[in-house]
Amino acid sequence: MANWAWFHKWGSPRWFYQFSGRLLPWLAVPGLLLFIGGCVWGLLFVPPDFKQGNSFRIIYVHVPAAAVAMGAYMFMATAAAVHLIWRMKLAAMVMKVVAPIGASLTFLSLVTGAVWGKPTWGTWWVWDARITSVLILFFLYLGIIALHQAFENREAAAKACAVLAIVGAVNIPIIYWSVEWWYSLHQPASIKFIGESTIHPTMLRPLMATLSGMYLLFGWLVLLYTRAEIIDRERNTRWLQDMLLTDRPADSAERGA
Amino acid sequence: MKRMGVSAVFVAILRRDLRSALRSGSEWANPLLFFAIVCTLFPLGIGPDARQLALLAPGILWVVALLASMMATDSLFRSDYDDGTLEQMLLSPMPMYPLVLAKILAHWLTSGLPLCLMSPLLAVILQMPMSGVPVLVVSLLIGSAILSFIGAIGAALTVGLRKGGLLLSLIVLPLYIPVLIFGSAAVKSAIDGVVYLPTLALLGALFMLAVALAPLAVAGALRISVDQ
Amino acid sequence: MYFESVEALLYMDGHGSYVWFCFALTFAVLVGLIVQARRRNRTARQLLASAARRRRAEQRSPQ
Repeated sequence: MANWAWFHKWGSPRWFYQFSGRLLPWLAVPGLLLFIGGCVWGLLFVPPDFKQGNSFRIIYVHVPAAAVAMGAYMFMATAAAVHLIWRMKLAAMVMKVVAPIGASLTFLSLVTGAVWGKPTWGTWWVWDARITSVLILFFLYLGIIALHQAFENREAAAKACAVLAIVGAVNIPIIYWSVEWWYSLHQPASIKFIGESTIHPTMLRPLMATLSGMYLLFGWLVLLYTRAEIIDRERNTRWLQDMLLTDRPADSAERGA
Repeated sequence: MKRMGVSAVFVAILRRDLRSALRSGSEWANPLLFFAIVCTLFPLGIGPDARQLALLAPGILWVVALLASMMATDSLFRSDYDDGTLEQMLLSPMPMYPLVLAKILAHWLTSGLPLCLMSPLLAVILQMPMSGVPVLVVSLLIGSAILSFIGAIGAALTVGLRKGGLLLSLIVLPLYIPVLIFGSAAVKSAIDGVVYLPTLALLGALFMLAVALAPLAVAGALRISVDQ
Repeated sequence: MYFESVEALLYMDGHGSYVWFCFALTFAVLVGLIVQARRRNRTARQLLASAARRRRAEQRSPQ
């Protein structure tokens, strides 16, 4: 059983709160540096694309948003499974906070994709397989958020959303594959997306920076929201009151005023 | 009370649900009426041009059948939840899988099957070429069963909520997409005279997957809704 | 530096408005998410402080 000690530790909000507090700067600082650095690099120093001109620079925010939004759903579904199988309270909190973050990133990737499409394809919206898939992902996120808000009982909300997240995760490969199939059926490859693999290395390096930066920022945001969630749920516990109120006397005095 | 076997309970639930659906009438008639009315709205919205309607008919019929099936799903567990039958089922030592399967099968027989049987009539109204009609019926037969399975998950999740109806559609519609894609594509292929059997086979594969997995998710979701 | 002047950087051969809009929106969304997290943290802390005050008052009152 000794192997499972880490697991029980992770399940404890108290341990997580203390541990995540130490982890925060290690995610925030490199994340911000990589993301902002990658953006500046991509905007100012990379030569424009041969075919698309300068509009290709949108890739440096579009692709990270889309990739992290996709990964976030799988992360959320994993947390959902952990919550259902081992009844880990912390996993329920993580699942709840990931949904709005993932939905924001999905929205961001849709809008940046549309704005990128205008100068590249001459139209804001194309029913391309990838765009359609991201749109469906957006709806899946919104469904989970709506379901969570509909429940008054927090525990039931978490469990219901966990079931829905897992059902969604099982369905995502099927949905993506069917959309891919649908697109190949209706559209002879007239519009070719610029695949990431064909990108020149000088253009790829800033993308790697913004992509890894976005992952780190996502982790940072998840920690921030989860910590707020822990304070909200555990506010009647002694350990949290002692930790937050005696550590900073100025803080409690200010709140008392 | 004497102990009943799983198959006896399965048949008992099936018979009870079918009888109550036939008695109330609205349960099986309303989705049909919805299907017919919405299909009538389309020519009024896009114009009576026969060629245009024929082009759009497979998609229209499939989308409207999908919506009608979803509307019917909302009431799937409602009465059992209200009168406590659901709680009894969950407390019984029976495995949930066959019970859920019986509920879904009864629901499909009273909502999905009538939709399939009425679809040729609406296909004629929408000027769909006759070559597509058999495939339309077959694709709706398989597809509406899958829709019943997926819809049951949404119905189970929202049965305890006061305003479940619209929420159910938000949850369930994205999951319906593969069925819509393959179903309407099979009908279009049949009309265009290209092979449609592989597409129907894909629908069949989705059906098998739904039969295997969806009742498990439904059972879990029902337990959450009842415990709440 | 690829661009020769600030104007060229802003204009980007006609694509400037698209590119800058996307980057601005991205930063707006990220900043919005961070601000929202801080705000939730603050309201949760306030609730915690009042819960602690209530508990202390309850502990004092019976004696």
